[in-house]
Amino acid sequence: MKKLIFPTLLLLLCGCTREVSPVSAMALDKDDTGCRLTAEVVRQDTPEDSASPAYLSVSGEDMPGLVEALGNLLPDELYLSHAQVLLISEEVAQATILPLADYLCQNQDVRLSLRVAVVRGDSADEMLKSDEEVFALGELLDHAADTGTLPDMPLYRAAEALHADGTAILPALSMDEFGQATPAGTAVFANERLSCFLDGSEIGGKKDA
Amino acid sequence: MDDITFTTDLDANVRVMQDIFRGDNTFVTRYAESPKGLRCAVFFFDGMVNGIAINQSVIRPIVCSDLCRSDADVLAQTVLQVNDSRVEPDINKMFASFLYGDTVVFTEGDARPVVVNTKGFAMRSSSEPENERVLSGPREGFTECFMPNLALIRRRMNDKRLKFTFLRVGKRTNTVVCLCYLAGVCEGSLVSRLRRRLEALEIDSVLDSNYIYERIRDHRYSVFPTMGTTERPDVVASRLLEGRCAIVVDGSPVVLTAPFLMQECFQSNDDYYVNFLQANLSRVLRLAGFVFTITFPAVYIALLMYHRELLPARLLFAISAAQRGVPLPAGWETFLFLLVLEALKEAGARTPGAMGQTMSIVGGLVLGQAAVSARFAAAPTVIVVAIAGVTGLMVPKLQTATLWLRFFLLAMGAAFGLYGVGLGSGLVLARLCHMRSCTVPYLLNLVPRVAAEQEDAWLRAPWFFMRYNRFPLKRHDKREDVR
Repeated sequence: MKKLIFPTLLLLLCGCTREVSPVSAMALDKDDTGCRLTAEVVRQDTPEDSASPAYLSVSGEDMPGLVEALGNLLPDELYLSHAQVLLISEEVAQATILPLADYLCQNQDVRLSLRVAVVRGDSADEMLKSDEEVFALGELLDHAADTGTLPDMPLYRAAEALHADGTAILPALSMDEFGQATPAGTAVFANERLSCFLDGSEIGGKKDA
Repeated sequence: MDDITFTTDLDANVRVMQDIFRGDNTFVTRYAESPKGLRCAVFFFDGMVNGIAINQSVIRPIVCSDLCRSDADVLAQTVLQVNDSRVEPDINKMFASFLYGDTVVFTEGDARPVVVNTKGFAMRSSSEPENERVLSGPREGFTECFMPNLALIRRRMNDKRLKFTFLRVGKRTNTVVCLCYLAGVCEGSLVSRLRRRLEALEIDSVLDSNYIYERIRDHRYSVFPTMGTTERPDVVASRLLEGRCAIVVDGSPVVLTAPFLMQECFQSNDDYYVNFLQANLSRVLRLAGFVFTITFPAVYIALLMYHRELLPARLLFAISAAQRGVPLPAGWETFLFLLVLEALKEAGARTPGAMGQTMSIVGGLVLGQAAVSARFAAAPTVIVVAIAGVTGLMVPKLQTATLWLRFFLLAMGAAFGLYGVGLGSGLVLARLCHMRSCTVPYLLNLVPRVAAEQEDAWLRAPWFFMRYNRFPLKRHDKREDVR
């Protein structure tokens, strides 16, 4: 009888889990209060439905505060483990991104394979909302890395490079004339800040020349 | 029975017998008297004896005898025309034989009875055991009759070293139990150990071999079997050849074998009658099936509750969507559905014939579908439980272990995640390492020491590779090559 008590107690303890709201991608922009974090949350209410994105935005001063505020918006558990992409705007990239990279690396929910990309021209928030498919941006960046169109720089490699000498290259994306995300070369970081973009036009003069 | 005494007075002996069996309408007394004056009394139980044998071999010889008087020895040796008759001065043995279908004959002037083997009760014919069917190979199975069962074993082993030792167990039922072994192949200490255990049994009745099994096996509270059970004579013969002992119990078609090793749980009769490649694939599948059935629900719950990051994204979305709106937490939901599965299995097993199959199918399909539609349960949980249920049927010898370990690991997984599943599995493995069956380590041969021991452990080697013809338990015996 005593042997039965232990498994019974274990069973009684196993009821406390919250439903999850998985985040597939995030976008970080500058705004008046400091930063604005937009998360693409995957919604799928029934198994028959297809997964569709929903967007949540919060403003704040730093990344930890933003993630916490975002979690407070939802009744479910904000789940970052399946986030594949973090888009950062040019303004954010022009400030130092090392604290951001460190925070993401230390967050146990965030995968080190998260891809960080810099959005050229437009806001990161707009680009995130440009596609109605979940994981479309992640697949675009994976494919571009496989084919060599964009640098293969997941979070851990970028953080390592920034820590080494403050320089790194990150993939850059921009919106095309149809409002879709498209590869836009490489964002070059020096002293932990965005220095310039390289898109191939630098070699042999401008494309339209 | 100790206070019963017979005298040389035949009528007095008849009165004693009739007093003992007063109220039993199957008890028959028959006087037989020859014209010359030989007078005997024949006792038997109606329905237990072969009437033709009594008429032709007992009564007719007495009635036609030329003797006017005869003692028990002469009666047994010269008058009665049967192949098996003896003078039995031991009252207890006489009654044991009499109650088991033998005929007792008293003669005037001798207090000693003659016991004549006239057993002739109805019994079913040998057929293939329902739960040990094979695709090819022998199809004979044991029945509830004792001697025919021993004959089935001896017919397969024409070896003078094959021994059958009889014991009687059960104060009320006085059941005959046979200890069967191959002298010189089976360790003497094993035979004496099992004999001691059987002789030490303090038990009123033995109606099936399980009465004995639970009492004499090692680790009596373990969920893992420490004695083998089979209804097939070919399996018993094979185990005797490997140096094991068999225990045949009168009235039970199930024969016990000892020692029993873990590897035997994954062996099937078919393994030895089909091509070794096919047999080995099946054996690996059974092993994987056992691991799968006890760990799958636990791993599912652990992943869902503690390690969602290990799930592929789209699978997580699908499971999360399915879980939405389900009232119970996933752990409890899985636990309850496993209980429902066991209830369905039990109902299917207890319901007769085709109705049982229908019940299982209807119960499984309709209940599962309805539970998902009504949001009582999530579809992935139903799938996990169904897969665990199906794979659990692959190793019937470990059904008890499967049932309990599945719940134990589920509790560990629900409480501690994958670490709990690992810890629970480690505890089970440690326990298995500690276990012994008749002093033989339970996991013997699963850890390779000598190549020869591996010939039929994890996998079955082809017959032409088996150098020692599978005698793993006694390695120093002189063996002959099978080539």
